[in-house]
Amino acid sequence: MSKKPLLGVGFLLLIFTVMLMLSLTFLYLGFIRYSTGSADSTAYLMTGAFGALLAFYGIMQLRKKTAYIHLLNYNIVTTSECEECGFKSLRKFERGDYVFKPVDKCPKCNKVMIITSIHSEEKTRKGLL
Amino acid sequence: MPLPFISQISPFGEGTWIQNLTWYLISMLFFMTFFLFYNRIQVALWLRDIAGALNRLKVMRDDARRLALATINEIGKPREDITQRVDRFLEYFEISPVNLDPAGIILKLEHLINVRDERFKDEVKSMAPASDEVQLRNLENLLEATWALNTLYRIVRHYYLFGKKTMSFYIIMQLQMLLPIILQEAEAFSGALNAFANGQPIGDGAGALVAAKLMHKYEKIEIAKDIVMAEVPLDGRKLLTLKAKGPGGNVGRPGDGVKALLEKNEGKIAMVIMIDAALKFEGEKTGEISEGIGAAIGGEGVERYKIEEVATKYKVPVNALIIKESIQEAISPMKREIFQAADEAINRIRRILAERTKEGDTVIVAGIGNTIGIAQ
Repeated sequence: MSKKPLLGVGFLLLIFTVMLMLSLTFLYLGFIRYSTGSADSTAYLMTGAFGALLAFYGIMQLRKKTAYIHLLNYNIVTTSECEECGFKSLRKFERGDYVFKPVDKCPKCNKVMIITSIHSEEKTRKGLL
Repeated sequence: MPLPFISQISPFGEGTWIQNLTWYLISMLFFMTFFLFYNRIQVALWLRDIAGALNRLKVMRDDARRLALATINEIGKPREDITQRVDRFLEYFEISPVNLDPAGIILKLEHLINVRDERFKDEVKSMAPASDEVQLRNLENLLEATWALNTLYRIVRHYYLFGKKTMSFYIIMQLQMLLPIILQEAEAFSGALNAFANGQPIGDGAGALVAAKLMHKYEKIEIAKDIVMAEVPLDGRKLLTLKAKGPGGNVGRPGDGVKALLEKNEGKIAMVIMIDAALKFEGEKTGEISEGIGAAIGGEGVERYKIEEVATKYKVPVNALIIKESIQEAISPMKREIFQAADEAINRIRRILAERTKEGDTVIVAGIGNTIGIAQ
């Protein structure tokens, strides 16, 4: 990791930038020649357009990052349920929770409730990296 | 209004000879640069890509290590500084049995896995003396995920540096092309860390959840190492339901469990139904259930081998139910769709029982997967 790459990003950027500037010059010349009715305007325009495309592609490649899979941001929800009356209560997950763990008493019938579900719900995406 | 200087430039033969020659030389220079150095430019772009991914892997590895240390210190209350011990654990390796002569390799592999499990358990126990059995299991899972991230980082770094040193087009190209898969796996492990640290159920536990739902409220006994079983009456059949012992992070030895039950019943079992989480194809919905035949169980193959052996011996059909999810979902906190799929899986089991067994039959139902955060 300490060794520098053979062709640095700065050098590649310089090549592509010079290429882009030359291509734009050709495009400019092409338009001038086209407006004066010169027959070689097509050659200028074609060269300029292809050069600009190639330079643009190169610069985009330098900017590009690998399409990584996004990291998901979760909300973990614990659901506890009374097996007697079916009363349900939802809250945020707390360390130590597990499915079928007896928890608080049911506010309706005072029987012990058990955790029936712990699942994640996607909050927001952190974005494609 | 044309710019005076630029409009003088005439690369296509209308300018002076010096202008034409200059343009010719510039064009040739660019042409030769791309012709001769195209591969090098491409390799430089790929290396840049890999370096970015490597940095990302390093961040994930460092975060995982930090979380592992913090969790062990918080839960396990170690008597001394455990940083070096954790670092040593992260460099742990195992050597697979030689496969030149494959006869008996399963037994060797099983022995190796047993030794590894014991070693991991002992290591974690001595690092976190204050933790109970469930916490120990969860810490073990957390350290394994950290170890996996460290190993991925080391492998990618190795090929990156080696490719850079040799400027090998093929090494760099292959590594760059594999990056999305490697990062997907790394991000899955990264997402699993909090689940392991907090003991939350993960997607892989879908099979264990189905078995837990079936056996809840019935008496359980331990029939093999870390495997619990309960006799569950369902639709006139007797279901011998087994799963790994929860709620600690544990997969148990379901192969031994199925074998013990089949031998105890002398093969008088109508069928074995195995339920496990399985990787979905892209485009498929999470939580979808598919039916098939064969032993639905992952891992190195030792447990599957045992089940196939004993099922073949007693000629018992093995049915499989899989709950589909991605690799990321398999080791991340269990999603609602997967949780809900457990009820659908029970309906499928009932349908299979109705179609392929008769009242009074005994059926083995094995819920496979990591039972972290799921009791019974």
